Amino acid sequence: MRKNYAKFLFLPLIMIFLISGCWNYREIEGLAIVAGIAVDRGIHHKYLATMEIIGFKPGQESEIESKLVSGEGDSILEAIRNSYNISGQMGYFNHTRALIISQDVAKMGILPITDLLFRSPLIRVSLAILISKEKTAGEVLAARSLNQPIKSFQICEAFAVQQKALSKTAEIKVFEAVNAMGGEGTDLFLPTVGVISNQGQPTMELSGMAVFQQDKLVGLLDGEESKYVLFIRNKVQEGILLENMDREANATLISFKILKNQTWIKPVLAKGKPGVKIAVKTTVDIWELDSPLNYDSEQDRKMLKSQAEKELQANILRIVRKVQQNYGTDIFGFGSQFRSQMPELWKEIKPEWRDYFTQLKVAVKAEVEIQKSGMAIKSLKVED
Amino acid sequence: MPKEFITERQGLNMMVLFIIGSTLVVGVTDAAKQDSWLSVILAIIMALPMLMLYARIVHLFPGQDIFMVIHRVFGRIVGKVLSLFFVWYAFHLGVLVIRNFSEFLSEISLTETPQYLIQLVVVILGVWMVKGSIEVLGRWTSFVFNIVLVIIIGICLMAFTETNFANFTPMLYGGFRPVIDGAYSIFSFPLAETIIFTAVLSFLKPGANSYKVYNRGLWIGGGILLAITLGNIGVLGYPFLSTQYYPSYITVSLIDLGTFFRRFEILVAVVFLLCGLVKVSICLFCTANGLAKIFNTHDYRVLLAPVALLNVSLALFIYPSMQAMFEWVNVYRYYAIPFQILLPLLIWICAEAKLRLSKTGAIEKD
Amino acid sequence: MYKGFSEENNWTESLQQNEALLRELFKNDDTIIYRHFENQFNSDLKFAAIFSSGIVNNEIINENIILPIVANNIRLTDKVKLIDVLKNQIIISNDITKTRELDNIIQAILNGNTVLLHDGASEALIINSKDWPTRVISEPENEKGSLGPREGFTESLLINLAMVKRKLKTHELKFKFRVLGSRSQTKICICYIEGLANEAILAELETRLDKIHLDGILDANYIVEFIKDAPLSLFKTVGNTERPDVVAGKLLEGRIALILDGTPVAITLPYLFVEYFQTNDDYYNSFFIASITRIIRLFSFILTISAPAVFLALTAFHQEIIPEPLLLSISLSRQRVPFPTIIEALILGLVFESMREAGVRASSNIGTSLSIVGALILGQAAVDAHFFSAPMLIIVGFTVVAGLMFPKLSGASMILRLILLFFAALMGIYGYIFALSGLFIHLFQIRSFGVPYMSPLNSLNFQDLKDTIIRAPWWYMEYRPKFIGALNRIRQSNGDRKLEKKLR
Repeated sequence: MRKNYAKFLFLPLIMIFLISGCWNYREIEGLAIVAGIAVDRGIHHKYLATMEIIGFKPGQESEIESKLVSGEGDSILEAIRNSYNISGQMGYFNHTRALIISQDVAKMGILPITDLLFRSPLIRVSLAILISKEKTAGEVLAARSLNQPIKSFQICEAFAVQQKALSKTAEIKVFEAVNAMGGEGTDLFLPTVGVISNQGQPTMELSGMAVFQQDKLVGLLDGEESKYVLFIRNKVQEGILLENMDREANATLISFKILKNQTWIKPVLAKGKPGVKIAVKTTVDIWELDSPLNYDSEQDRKMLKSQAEKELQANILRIVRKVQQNYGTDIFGFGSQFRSQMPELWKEIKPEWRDYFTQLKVAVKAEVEIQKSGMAIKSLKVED
Repeated sequence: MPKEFITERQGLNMMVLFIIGSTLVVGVTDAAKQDSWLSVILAIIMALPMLMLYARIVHLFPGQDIFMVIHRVFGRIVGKVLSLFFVWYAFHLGVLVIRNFSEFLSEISLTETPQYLIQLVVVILGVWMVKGSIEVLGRWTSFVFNIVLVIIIGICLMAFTETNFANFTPMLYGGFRPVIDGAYSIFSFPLAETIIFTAVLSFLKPGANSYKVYNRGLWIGGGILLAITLGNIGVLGYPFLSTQYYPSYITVSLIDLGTFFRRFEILVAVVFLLCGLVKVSICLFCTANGLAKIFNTHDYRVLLAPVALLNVSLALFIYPSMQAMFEWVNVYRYYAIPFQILLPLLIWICAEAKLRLSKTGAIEKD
Repeated sequence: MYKGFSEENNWTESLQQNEALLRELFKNDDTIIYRHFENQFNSDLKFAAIFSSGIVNNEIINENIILPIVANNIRLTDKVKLIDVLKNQIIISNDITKTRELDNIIQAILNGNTVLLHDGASEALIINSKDWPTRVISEPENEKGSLGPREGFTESLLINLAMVKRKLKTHELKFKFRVLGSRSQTKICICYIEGLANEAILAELETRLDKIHLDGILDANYIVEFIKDAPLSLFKTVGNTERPDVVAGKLLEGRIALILDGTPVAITLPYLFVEYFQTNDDYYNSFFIASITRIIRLFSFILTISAPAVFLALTAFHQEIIPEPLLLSISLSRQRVPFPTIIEALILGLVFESMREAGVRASSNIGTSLSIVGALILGQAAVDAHFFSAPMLIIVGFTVVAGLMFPKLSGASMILRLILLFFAALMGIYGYIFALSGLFIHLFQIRSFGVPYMSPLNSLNFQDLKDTIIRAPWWYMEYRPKFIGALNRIRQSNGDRKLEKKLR
């Protein structure tokens, strides 16, 4: 009797393998790997989603190429799914690196998009969200990319370069965006991407940022302005600081290379009114001087330092004013500083924080430490 | 058959894996938001006396598991009824863990694979393990423990590179209440679930110290929970953290060491698989053992397969959806009170009284 | 055993009758020689030497048996029987016994001894004249080492025992003979060191051997399958080796060895999982190198059973954890491949395994051309024709190469690889982990003669790990492995590190 049972046991065991073989099994070459998504307003429906799919050029020496496919729908998911009609392939989103949103859509609110992003187990929350500076987001994906055949990957590389050399915009990942939108006392900004002409061909370019109130776009900042936002947010790592020096009526432009930067924000309560003190400490090298002037004497160096500090302070203050007056959204996270450093006060001012923010007294104190002047002892004096 | 033994170390390893088992991926309650880590510490301190009480019960009757203890203290009829309570608790806990297990896997990866298959595989492995003997479970656990520990330490170190310390501020913003609230949740799930071990630690080698197992198990397991909680808060921050069911998984997915060394989240799943298997096995063992004692069956092994199949059947329909599963966590803290606090207290008091009254002491009697 | 003949009354005092009886028994066996001769001084003394040609030493028979009997003037007294005179005074031999048992006589002839009958005696003399061609002692093919002793066991039991004896010159080294197999009458020898080997294991071994009733034992594996603890397991719970130095080493650790006649393979037990990864070279090499190679071996074992499964799980289930560059290159290489990954893995596995098997069976000079045709031409062509993808070819190829490190595990690792592959195809990496968990549960369950198979890996405390994952220096291994249950754990009387210092 026992033996007979054993025989029958094999049946379900074999069945498990035979029937179950392919529930989640999907061949790697059958995947349409989506590298990036662009979301626009649709013509017939609410959204138009354009996806950049990694394709393979047929031939003996197969190559990677970027393919675009788009679909429309009343929700993002529907738009994406509708594009499968065209491509005939299911999209695979786990390697998606960038999501570009057009300004139209961003003005309507990006909450539905971020919700999709952090809800879906298939999409990584380290995906970067960007706003298109152009009319549509699809344009950006259609532009040329120089280094990488896949444009969305190029965007991510550009972010790395930004961090190392420019600091004119910063990558915002989904979870950071969610924290900025949902967190108390902080508003969202997103990096912007545009198309510029490079060697006569439209090429994508990363610079500047978009300012949000709640989840709706309210305005754009250019690259230079964004840099000072990043200064306040303590996100500047390396970059270039251009300073106009008014010295004896000679306008001099000096390029500093930022070596490191540290920013402290201290909320204060002055005469019953909340205010913010920003202290910036930047270490720089002189990398380019456009005049024969030298800053090799003690006095000159001091002057250069104070000039640079003054300029930096003015620039930071200017961007704070601009955001306060034009947009009224706290992309600097001043509110969250109140919350973490003066929680009792924050509980009081929280309901009217937006009003408080526009009125907020901001004092900036910058300290620029000039370390080196490169390999040059002095600049060249042009003689006759 | 010679009597089976587990060493103190194996007992300790089992307890640690049991504690971090499902909590590793589900994460501790976020009642206290960025102060959750305080809740963890508080919960450990809260759990300490309770766990010492469990250890005392084990210690009072060496070599006898909780079911035997209940039988001796309360007599046959009452003992059987109370045993049934414990059996139910172990059985139900097993069901919850199994469901948790399959729900997690089917959410993150095996979206199209039917959950019962995952549950079946887990349960078969559990039965296989316990069928060998508690010794096999002990050896397997202490083997796996090292792997788990290495992975967790690695993950925590890597998570440290992504930590944003601003996420921890402001401390005690919501006051002390949510912290205590969270601490109690963590106490009931998973720390006080170690009541199950009163049925396992009776297999400790003679001379081993049950207090030590409980004490160290609590601190190491709690320490790991604390590290995970700190990592989750530091990397993800609020409010994003509260939107996620499986925060540790997301946290680890964000770890990025260069372009090639990234995407370690599968390790979290692997650790969860291993810990979950230990937890399921212990629950299975406990249930079968208790039932065997109630029905006066000589060998609990006969009951393993039926118990396991019942586990799977119940796990299939115990929750209608994942939301319901996470809702249950809030109910669980009240549901668990009788099993984790009241009954052990009662048993302990009665056992102490009984031992005092019969001056000869129960230990010599056997 | 030989029904009908074992009764004593068949054996008479008549030479003729006795010979007739033997001739009847050995009917149709023309290798049995019946040599009649007489004493030259007394032709009434008639003798017959019966032996099986081919397994006897002719010189012994001629010079030591026939010559003395024929040439000596045998004086018969009443007191002493002729047979005793022959035994004690005439025949020159170191091993000579007197018997009346037909069984013994038959066995003696079959074993290459000479049976001497003489007319008028109901007893026979069995004179040792065994000599059969044996293989010279050579290095075992399957257990080569670059350092250390080169000799390997031969098919002769006594030579094998001699090799072990020469390494351990102690009276505590015991050899117990037994005969197994009703037809093959194979001699086996249980070797152990008294005081080190566990008596309980010894007793257990004896009872298990008692249960064997096979008629022919031709190789060690016949016995292994009988005495193994987990008969259905893929893993061996009884070890085998062809090297006397390995046997000596195991004996010193308190293990027991079983040496069989007719096979160069000795059995050692208890056998633990870690022994798969210990090679004799480890002990002869610098401990640094030995430890590194041992770690590589362990690592390779895990790789060889799991590489295809993990690859399949990653490429077919968890593409999300493959970094983009790798993902793209794998995807690119699979572009026009018609087979699903799982089928590809199975076919390639089959191809490689058959090539390996062909390499073992084919004569060695075909081997090189086989590898060229197999590896180079077939592989290259298959990838060019988009039959298989290059990554899979690499994975499976590597798997097979890594598997060559463990000739003793090759069968098990092949089956494990398949099982893991199936589970990976079912549930991805989770299926793989489940299957691996199952494997370890199994490994932790089985025992070898009462010793947990996975010890000491299950405790992972340092003292026991000295000779498992790493190979600690000799002066550091002061104790015998605890888990063998050795009675006498101290191996070096006074911790030799002190000696080390003194020498410096």
